[in-house]
Amino acid sequence: MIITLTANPSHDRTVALGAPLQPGEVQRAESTTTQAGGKGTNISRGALAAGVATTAVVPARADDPYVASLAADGIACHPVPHPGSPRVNVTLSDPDGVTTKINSPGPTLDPATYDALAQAVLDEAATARWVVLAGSLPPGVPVGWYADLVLALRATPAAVAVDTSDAPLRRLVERLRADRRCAPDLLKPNGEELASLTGHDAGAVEADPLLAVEAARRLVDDGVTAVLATLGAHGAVLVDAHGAWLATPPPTTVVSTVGAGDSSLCGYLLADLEGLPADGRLARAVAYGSAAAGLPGTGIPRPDQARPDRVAVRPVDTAAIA
Amino acid sequence: MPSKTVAVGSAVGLHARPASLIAEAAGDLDDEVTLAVAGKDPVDAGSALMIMTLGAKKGDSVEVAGENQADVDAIAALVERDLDAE
Repeated sequence: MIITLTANPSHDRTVALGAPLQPGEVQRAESTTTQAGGKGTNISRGALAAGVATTAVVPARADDPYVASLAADGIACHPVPHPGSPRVNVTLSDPDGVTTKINSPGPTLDPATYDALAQAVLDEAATARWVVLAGSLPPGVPVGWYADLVLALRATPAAVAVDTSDAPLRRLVERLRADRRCAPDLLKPNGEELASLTGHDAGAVEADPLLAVEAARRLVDDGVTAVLATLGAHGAVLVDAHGAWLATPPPTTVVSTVGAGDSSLCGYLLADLEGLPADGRLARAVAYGSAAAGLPGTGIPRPDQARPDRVAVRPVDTAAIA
Repeated sequence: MPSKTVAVGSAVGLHARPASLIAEAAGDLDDEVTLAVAGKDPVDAGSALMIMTLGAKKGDSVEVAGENQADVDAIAALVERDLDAE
């Protein structure tokens, strides 16, 4: 069972333009599609496609169209009542493959709502192998909330994965450095997020897996059980107390990288549930990320679309870079 | 250190709403107050999330402890009340 929390879910609307975006002009869309999205929900979608039980915890009324959309797709949902409605994030894509994303801040959550959301996650965690805390925090939620949740989830049998960015990520790392009980079982930064934590240059970390391993190693030293750092076209690195591994993806024709990071995390968790060792988990993560990049929109792959056998994984000698 | 053991009064136990109200009151105090149930480590009463992790049901015994008796009595009184009904 994989429980996902998306504190700031969104309707992801993709607008396909017939011509390049012209600011200030009226343009016609060739097509529009809308999917209930958000990082945690994306991971639940991938788990469902792989036949793994999952529940998506989201702040939304039970009769909200967002919840209805998840139900229509067969995703079990634990909605936590909330006076607002999930935001709409818009992706404008033109025929040349240029995409423009406009993400809304989302409705403000009051303390009663985010406490109820935490309670829902704690209740669901009682029967879960993994709890995934994913995405940005909506307005109103304290920046240290993920750190509080990781600490609270220590009282449950579930392992905790966190995939977030900016202030909530920085605060989580500050908190786990002060109290190792706030350290999650898995942290999934991308190159830019990893660099922001360690003061490295973002471009350099993405292009140089050894730098990424070095940065991830610091987080493991601080108490994070495993760090899965996704590096875009360069693949991903996995670092834990036992070693470090680098995986490079097969040649991929990129259609849309939206959702690739979420897919990588999903692939990793699915492989972990199957009991695969570190290199096998990393290969599955990169295979899922690559498969997602080859799908349009926020494409989350099915197991048969991911090819871990075509991902090259090799251990990294961390002594050489210590 | 002063402490007092009381039974949870809220029908839903120390679930989200009662936990939030207790945490809010504890957050206004100058000194830390902790809550504990049998078999688990004490938690900070100022954190609704940590109170929720106790999983205390209506009627369960909760030990309230703190630096001074007035704080302990104030938080113990909240634990004993049916906060969800208010």
